Amino acid sequence: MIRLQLTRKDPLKVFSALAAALVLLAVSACEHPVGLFASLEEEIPIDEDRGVPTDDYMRTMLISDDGEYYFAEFTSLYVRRRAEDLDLTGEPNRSWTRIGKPTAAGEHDTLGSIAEYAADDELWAIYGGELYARPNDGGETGRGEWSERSRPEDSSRASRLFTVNSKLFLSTRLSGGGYALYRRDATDWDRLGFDGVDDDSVNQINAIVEFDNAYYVATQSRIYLTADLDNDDFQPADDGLPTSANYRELEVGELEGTPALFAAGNKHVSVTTDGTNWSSSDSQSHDGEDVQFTALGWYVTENGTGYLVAGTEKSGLYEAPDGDLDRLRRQGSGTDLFGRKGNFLTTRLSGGAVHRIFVDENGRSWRSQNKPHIFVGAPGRGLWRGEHDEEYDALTWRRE
Amino acid sequence: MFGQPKPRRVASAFFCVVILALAAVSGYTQIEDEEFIEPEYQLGDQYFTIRVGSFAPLFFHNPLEGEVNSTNLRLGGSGALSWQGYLNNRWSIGGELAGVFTNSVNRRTLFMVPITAKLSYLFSSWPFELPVHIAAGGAFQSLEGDTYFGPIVKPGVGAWWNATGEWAFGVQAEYWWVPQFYRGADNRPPDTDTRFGNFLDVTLGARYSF
Repeated sequence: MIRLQLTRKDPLKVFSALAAALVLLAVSACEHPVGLFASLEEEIPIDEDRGVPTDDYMRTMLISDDGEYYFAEFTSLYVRRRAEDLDLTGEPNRSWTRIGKPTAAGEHDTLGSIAEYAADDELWAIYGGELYARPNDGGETGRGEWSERSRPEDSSRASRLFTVNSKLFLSTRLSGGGYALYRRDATDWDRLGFDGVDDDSVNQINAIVEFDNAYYVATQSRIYLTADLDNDDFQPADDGLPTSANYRELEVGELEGTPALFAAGNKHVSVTTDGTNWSSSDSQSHDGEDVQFTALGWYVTENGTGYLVAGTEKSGLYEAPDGDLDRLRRQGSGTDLFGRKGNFLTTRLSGGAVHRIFVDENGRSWRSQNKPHIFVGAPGRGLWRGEHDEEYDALTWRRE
Repeated sequence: MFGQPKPRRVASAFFCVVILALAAVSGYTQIEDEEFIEPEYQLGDQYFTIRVGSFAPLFFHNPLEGEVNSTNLRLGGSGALSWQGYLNNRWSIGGELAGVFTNSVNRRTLFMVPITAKLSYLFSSWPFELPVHIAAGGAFQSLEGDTYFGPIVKPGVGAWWNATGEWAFGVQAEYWWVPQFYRGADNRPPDTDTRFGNFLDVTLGARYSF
């Protein structure tokens, strides 16, 4: 046996060096919102593998005309029953089914937008800049159900569809680079004007809502309104709002019990109760960067408390109880919906981008019938569903 | 990222150890007629050990609530390299670098890399040896980009068979006590997130003495 010439002091030197190294390493611990083991302890299986892609995300969701189905826009169209019936084995029947694209669509055309058109009981969609429609029910998922619809002649390609108050709106890209907005009128399109803006200079249209008997449009640069779609152009309605706010979403909710319109912009969420006087949240930043708000939802819990829910470009979710923007807080900051209760902070949904929020006030999962469900589209992380869990007394999140 | 711990991976590690053992036994048979004399370890004698095996999460202890909860982790894999030097025929002291991974029910992977000092006491009945040890130090821990560095204590026991004068093969069981202390300062988790992790590491190993 070979023996090195070690003395009794040598092992002590080794351990001293090791201990010094450990002390240096100890200072490298990073910040995180929840303890690692505590996070694991709270985990529940969240991936339900319902058949929608988890590396894509939900851009739009809507409920079919008969109330029986969800439609979800990914790069393809998916449908599933809204209610989850338990089958003979006790397992919920809850899979999404992919609806094939129109036969007339190009090989590489993907789904660009969906909206319902109540007048014809149809679901409209954009594939490759062209318009298609199919019956607005989820019972038939064949691609042969699609039929092509004409887009406005002065547009180069359809950009996005919106449904507001049973009216169908279409945003199109013009050949000159700007955007145009149209309203469906029976079998034709009516172009809508914007006061003070050249027809070919309207910015990208991100949201349309109805509030207080007027229609509001959010473009990237401004917010407009009109009370008379048939006769008046949209007028600027953003006096008092931050300039260059990059408005991405509008949502109707309540401010401490009063109907209110919320706007998601850059650094701020803003609110008005009368359509003209706006107030904004404090400027929001996270990790040294301005927070770009991207999506809004109005979620009312079972006990009647309303929350404005706001998604962001890369800072996770924010919430404002009672719509009070002075109480707008980022996830994990001692908040109610996205706080430490429940499993939110243990999921991959936490902390990243959220581009769409959809609230079903009468969700019908087998766990909780006729309770509010909140759906979140998170880029690269699929479609998430939050529903109240009696055990946690908080929202429990699962990925569809 | 590792996938879920696969039996094939554990089997591969076991196969490697068996190959090493067979190679050593081959050398052993060549000298089987020679009579072994039980060695008397002295200061300056040293040995390296390499171990691979499985890592079983047991439970998390919440000391503030007095609760014991599931880890929601699955059986994982582990490996370790250690060096120790004898102080006398019974006691040895050294250091160890280990690494483990284990996946949660949602396929989040927990990594832990402990660096520990190790003190062993040897019970011997040649050619078999049963060292008991305690190791203590610090452990890097990582879960989906979140990291933590904290103390670790690892008591354990092994059973080794000396195939030759240099090579021995055996099995080791080691209990890992991994406390995570939080105080809630500077945007870090609150003290209510303090947990004591409890794990069991069972490995097969090869030991080379020199």
